[in-house]
Amino acid sequence: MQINLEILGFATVEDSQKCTALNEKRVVSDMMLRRRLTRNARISLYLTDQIGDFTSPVVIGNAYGEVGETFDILRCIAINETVSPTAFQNSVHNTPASYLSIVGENKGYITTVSDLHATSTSVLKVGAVKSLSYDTLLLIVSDSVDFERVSELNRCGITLKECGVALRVRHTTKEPTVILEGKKYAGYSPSIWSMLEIVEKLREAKSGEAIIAIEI
Amino acid sequence: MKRVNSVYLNAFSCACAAGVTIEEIFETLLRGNSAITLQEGYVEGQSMPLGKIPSERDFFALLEENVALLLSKTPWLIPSETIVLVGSSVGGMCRAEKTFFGEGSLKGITVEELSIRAIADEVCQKFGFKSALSFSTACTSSSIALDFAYDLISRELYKTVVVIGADELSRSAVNGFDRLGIASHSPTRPFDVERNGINVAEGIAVLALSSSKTPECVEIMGCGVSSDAYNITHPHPQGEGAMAAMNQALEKAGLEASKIDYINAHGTGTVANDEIESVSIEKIFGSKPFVVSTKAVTGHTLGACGALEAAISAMSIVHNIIPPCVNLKTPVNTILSHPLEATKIEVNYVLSNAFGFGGGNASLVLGKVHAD
Repeated sequence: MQINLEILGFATVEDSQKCTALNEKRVVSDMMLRRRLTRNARISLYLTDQIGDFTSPVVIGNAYGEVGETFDILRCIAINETVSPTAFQNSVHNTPASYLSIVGENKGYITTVSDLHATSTSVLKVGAVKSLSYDTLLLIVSDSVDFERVSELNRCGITLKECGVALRVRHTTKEPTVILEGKKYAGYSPSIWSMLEIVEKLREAKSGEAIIAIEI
Repeated sequence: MKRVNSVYLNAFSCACAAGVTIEEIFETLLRGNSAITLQEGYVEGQSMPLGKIPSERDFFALLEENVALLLSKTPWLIPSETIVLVGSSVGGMCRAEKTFFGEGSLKGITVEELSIRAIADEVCQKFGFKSALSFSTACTSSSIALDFAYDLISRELYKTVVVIGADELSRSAVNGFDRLGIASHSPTRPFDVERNGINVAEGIAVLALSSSKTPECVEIMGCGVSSDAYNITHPHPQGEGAMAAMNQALEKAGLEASKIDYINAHGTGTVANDEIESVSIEKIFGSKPFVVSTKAVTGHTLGACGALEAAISAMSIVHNIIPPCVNLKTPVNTILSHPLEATKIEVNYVLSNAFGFGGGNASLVLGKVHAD
């Protein structure tokens, strides 16, 4: 079964280490809240702000969660150090979803999927099905693996340690104009490839309606 | 692609501290015996009351056994035509913990092992399901998977869906909840004025859903999902998000609140959740439905609780009996009806709640299926 989505807007961000210039001070005016934001939350808020839609339902994907916080908890347990409660609350996969909800005062459907290398494909599938229930949706995938011991874990050649893609979409019955080929992108986390390919094709096309078909 | 199909919960297979079959779990619930036991080795220098599955088997072996048992109960379910929806907050984290604490390094860990996707990969490789999706929204994870399953079946995108809620007891989670000050060091007391936190637990619930009626199935009539937009760890003080999810589920089910016979509450035993959930239930439902938290018996199975408690709710509908509130002496809310013994009544409609970290809320309405 196939569901077609019209792409209404997109945004991307990437860096070989931590992304800078994410406009946190403007996007999150509350200083206490801003200080607590996780890396994936910062990226998600930046992308949402770039697209300019804080009110639509959101499907967020991240493959590894806040892996730096997670391994900090393991390190603390291993050496009998006290686990930081903030690190624990930030290690939960849906933390970016929660911050998006709080910052945007969005009380609607916001969910998080995590399917490792297939994460952005899953975001597209959940977004496509939910597009049948809502007017517009925001689909976000991000990953942040810029932490101290990442070299022990990173065996898939990720050089862009922080990256994210967001799409604003709505359901359409029109025929697809963008055909996805399942491209691979060296240096990027495989978790974002599907959505990265959509953005690349949109940039190539430059104008006209952008409609993709999602196989459920 | 309008909603054309009804959605049925046809069969399930579960394991948690209260038992390794759903029959055993339900019997333990009806007897009102807490299955929480003191466990060493999770928090340094302390015994913690936790919900541990009473089995020596590896968690992933138990998961496979439960999927195999479900498939034996549902010969009409064809894995190659079925999507698996996983809800988990921990995924393969415990495997990573064992490696890390054993070797002191991340080098022996693969991202495949530690990811949320580990559960879906395990069952897809073993049983040949068509595809899989994994939701990780803390304690609402498997309720969110059920909501998505409802969409897939009601809109005729799939005829059969398997929903898995699974979370293993991890040292990270137990330490984390302890440090947040919401893990109780005694058996949890949901809805009691003296409640002081959760008992972290593990659980597996494997559910078969379809568009077809089968003997002893129940209908999933509606789901509601909302966000608090309030705080990263505390629920909205007036319960706005919780009420929005419950009202949405009732609306989709096409039911008046007065029709609900039993509310399977989220009832974690934390000061904040139980106070706010009680007020929210009272505002919508008044005193009529029985309100029970089964977490006093099973512990809080985190991302698995939505699926596990949907199965428990289905057992109540099929057998017309509601389990008692365990460890409840002085209710925080005197308007609500908390049964202190197993109660036999005609159970036609149940609402089951799951609320999570970060202010995510999910409610399901399940209903009795009458013979044609």
